[in-house]
Amino acid sequence: MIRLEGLCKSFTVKGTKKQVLKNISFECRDSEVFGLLGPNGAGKTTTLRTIATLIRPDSGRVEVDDYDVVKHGRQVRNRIGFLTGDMKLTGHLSCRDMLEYFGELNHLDKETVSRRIAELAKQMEMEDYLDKQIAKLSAGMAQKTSIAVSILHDPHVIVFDEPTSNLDVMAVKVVSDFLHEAKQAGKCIVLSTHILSEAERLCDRVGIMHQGELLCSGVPAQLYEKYQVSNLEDLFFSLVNHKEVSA
Amino acid sequence: MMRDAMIIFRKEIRGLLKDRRTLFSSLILPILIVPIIFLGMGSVLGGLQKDAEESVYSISIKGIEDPRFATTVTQFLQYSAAEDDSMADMMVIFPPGYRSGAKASVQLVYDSSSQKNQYAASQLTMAVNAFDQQLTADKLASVGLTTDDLNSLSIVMVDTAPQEARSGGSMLAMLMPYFLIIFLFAGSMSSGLDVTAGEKERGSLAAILVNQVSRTSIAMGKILHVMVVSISSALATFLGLVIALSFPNGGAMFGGAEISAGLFSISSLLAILLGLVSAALFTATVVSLLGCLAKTVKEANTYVMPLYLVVVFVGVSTMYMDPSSNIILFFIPYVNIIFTMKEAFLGIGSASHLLIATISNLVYAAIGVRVVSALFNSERILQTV
Repeated sequence: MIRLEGLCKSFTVKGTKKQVLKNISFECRDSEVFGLLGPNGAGKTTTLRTIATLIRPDSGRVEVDDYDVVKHGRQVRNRIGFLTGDMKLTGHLSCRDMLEYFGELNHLDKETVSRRIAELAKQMEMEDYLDKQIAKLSAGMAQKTSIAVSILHDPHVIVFDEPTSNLDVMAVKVVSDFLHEAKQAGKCIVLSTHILSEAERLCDRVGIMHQGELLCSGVPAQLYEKYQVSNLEDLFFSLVNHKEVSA
Repeated sequence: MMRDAMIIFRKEIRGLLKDRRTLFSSLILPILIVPIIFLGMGSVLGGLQKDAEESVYSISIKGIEDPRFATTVTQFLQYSAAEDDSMADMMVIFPPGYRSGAKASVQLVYDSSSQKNQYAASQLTMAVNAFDQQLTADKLASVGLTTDDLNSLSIVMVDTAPQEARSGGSMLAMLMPYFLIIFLFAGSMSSGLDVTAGEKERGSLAAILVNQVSRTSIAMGKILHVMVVSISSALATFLGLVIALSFPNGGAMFGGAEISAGLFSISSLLAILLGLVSAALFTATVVSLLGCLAKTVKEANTYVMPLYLVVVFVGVSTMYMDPSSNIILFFIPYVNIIFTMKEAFLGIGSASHLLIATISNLVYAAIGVRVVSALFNSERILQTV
């Protein structure tokens, strides 16, 4: 389970302090996909990076499976599979080499690594190209490898930041299928996206962010009723436009 | 911590060994470049010299009737009398009314833009001087003296330079530090920027940071990798030198016919190696640091290129300098290693200079490692926008 309470974060850019997260609170339960939606610059990536221990919060509390991300970073990282959409695995190593490398980085023993590689190769249909150079793989194959790398240590929590950005239709399906299977397996999944149709299809609950604020969060159907809209796109634009007008 | 750093190091090395292009530019090219440059240069220069010596020059000689001058000229170069001044490669003009033995200024007309003409002009100058000595000898003979009667002193030169310096080491001391430093730096550039700014640009750095290894270990593993590539490039350059010296007459290209790969003492070679390792570690930390500060490889290149030019400038500007005992120089990165290597190539190595240079570089590198580690431990490391 992921729990955020009153998360705030500021960055200083060229001498000017800018608050990028303003009192963000939400939670994501097991066997659930939580979609963090918002336009570019809304604060989605900063929120997910804070969950992944890459960024320290200025204030507020972030917990992963009851471990505080600041106090127990190592335990949190052990429970998290983190993937960003701009991650481009490339180079002359094979998929197997890369998976073994991440196994070592996660301090897994060789037997566990071999077992997990075999499991993931079967689950994600990677067996045919497991020993091929990553640089020679298609976008879909490379994306499968990236996903495999991020969950090699079998994390309970999955944090994906824009996992389908810059991907073709086939590669997007790879990600969608994986997320669906992970949810069935009881994983706790948070993903950010700006593709609303994707969120509508995959997410059990959503949160809409804009200019560092979480404008709303909840089950889509309940949010439609509350805000008198019929779909996620209408909800999104209604809230974002309202926010901009009031600003 | 080192165990985790070695995970990063091993992965980078494995990637390098599978990348043929980087392997070629980091290891194979440096091995080939010194033999190619020196053997190629030696062959071209040798060919030019041979061509200049074997050519028949068209020379117009004017204002002298003494046939002995033409005979003297043939002792220095092959020539034919030019039928027309405009067709002549060069002209030797004695003043009007010149008689052998009279005091006169001889004009030598030649084209300095041609290497062959320059050679012929120097040979003609020697011919004129030889003819002048012949005339002087004639005059002295007429009063019962010889040229030896004019000289009361003779000079015997005693060279105190060590064997290495006398047999071509001075040429090596001039050129090799430059080549070694340049390849050491160039080797660290591609790998150093790829594992820092490149990793950021590809978005894979975040994935590496969300793991069980500490960020300090990641920084150290990457620096270690860059250092190994850097030192390998420099050692490959050195190996190229040894190969060049192993060729027949290889030493002649470095200015001494007796020079050979076995000439250098073990202590000299160790001094060069130690200096290179410390310089490689310093370079690896500096390049990694600049790579961490940049958001993309392109931006990182704009940070590193000025430093590369500084290294080239240091290499070129110290090329013609003699080894110095100025202790300050041995505290300055790159300058210290260049002077330490000069001393080693000349066989006049100083343990204190080597120690100061090595320790200085290691201290600077240690500071660099701390800064790179601090960067890896800060949020700034993930900045790509």
